[in-house]
Amino acid sequence: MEIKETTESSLLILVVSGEIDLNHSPALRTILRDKAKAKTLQLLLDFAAVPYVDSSGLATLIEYYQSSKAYSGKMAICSLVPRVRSSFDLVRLSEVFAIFPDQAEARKALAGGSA
Amino acid sequence: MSPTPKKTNPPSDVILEVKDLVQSYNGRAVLNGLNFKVRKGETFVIMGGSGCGKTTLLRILIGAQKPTSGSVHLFGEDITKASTQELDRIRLRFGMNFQFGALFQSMTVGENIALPLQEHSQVDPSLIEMVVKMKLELVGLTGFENFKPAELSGGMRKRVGLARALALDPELLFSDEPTSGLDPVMTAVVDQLTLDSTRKIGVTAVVVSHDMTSCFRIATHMLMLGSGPRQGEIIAEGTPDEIRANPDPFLQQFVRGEADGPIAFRLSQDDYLKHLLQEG
Repeated sequence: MEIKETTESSLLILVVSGEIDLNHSPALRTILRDKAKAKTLQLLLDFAAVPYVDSSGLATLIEYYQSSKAYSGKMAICSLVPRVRSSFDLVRLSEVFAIFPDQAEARKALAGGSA
Repeated sequence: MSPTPKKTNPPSDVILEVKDLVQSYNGRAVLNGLNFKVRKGETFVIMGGSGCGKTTLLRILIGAQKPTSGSVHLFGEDITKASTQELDRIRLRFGMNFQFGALFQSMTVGENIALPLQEHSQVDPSLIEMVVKMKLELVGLTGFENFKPAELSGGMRKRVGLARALALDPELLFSDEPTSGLDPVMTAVVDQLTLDSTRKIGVTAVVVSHDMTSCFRIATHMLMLGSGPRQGEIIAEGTPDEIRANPDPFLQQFVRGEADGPIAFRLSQDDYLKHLLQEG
C-alpha cells in the first residue's frame, strides 16, 4: 500500500493505492492518527486505486472519523471501486461516511461544508 | 501472534481441488473416490441426504480429519499432507461456519467474534471492538455483543457463528447447514449474506446443505452426494440449471423431496422377508 499526500490550503488529500488489509491497515492507522493529532480540518481519502478494504481497514477509518469529530474535522472518501463500495454498504458505513464518486465532487462538498 | 499469511494461490482460479478422495470406516466407504474443483468466486453447494457423508467431507476439506486416501489441495497446498503448523497458516485464509455455531458458552457474543482477530492478527483491541460491531451489524445482531450464547435463540447463535467465521475476512467460507432450523425469513437473510459476500466482496463459499430452496437460491455450482446403494459417489455435479435438468431419478427424488423413489425409506419386500427370516 502506498499513500501520496498533497495539501491545498486547509484540505489534505491522501491518495491511497493498494489493498488495505490486516497487513497494511496499521500503516494507514499511523498516518491517520498523526492527522487527527494535528487536528486536520479537512481530509479527503482518494481510494480510486484501492481494490480491497478489509474490516481492520474499515475500523481504522471509523477511528479517524471519531477522532476528527471531536475537533469538528471533516472527512470525505471518494472514487470507491464497486467491490470496496460494497464492503462499506454491507456494514452500512456508506450511511456514516461522506462518500463521493470522484475528487471534484468531494472537494465541492468539503468546500461547501456539506461533507 | 502470526502475521497474515502470504497469498500463494495457484496460477489457475481453482481454490480447492479434491482428488480420488476416499474415507472408509470399518471397511465401508462413506466417500468413495471423489473428484471435484471449487473455483474462485463460486458458491459451491454440496447436497445430500442424512448420513451421505457431507459433514465428513467438510471435516476433511478444512483439515479437521485425514482421509483414508486421496488429496485435498487448498490454495494450491495438499492439506492431507500438511503439518499442524502449515495447517494453521492455511486456516487463516478460510472461515468455518459450524452447524450449531460452536460458540464458547463462557464467552460473550462479542468475545466469541473477537477471538480469531485476537489470536491471529495484531489488530489493536479498540479496532477489534469496532470490527465486532460491524460483523454483528452484518448478521443483523447489532447490540448483542454482551449477551452469552445461552441467552440467544438457535437461529441467533447460528448468525453469531457466521459473524465469527467472517471475522478475519476470509477468502473462502465453509458453511455447514447454515440455514437448518431457521425460519423462512432468517433463511433468506442468511442466504442473502452468502450472496453478498460472494457476489459483492468476492468471497468463495463452500456450503453443505440439504435445504433445496436455499441451495438453488445461492449456488453457482452444485454437487450431489449419494447415499444408500450409491453411498460415497457423486450423483451429479453442475450449475443449478444443469442439476434441475438432470434426469437421474436419485437426484430428482432428492431435489423434489419425494418419499417414493430410489432413495429407499424401507427395505424392498424381498429384502424385508429375508431380514425377517434371517436367523440370529
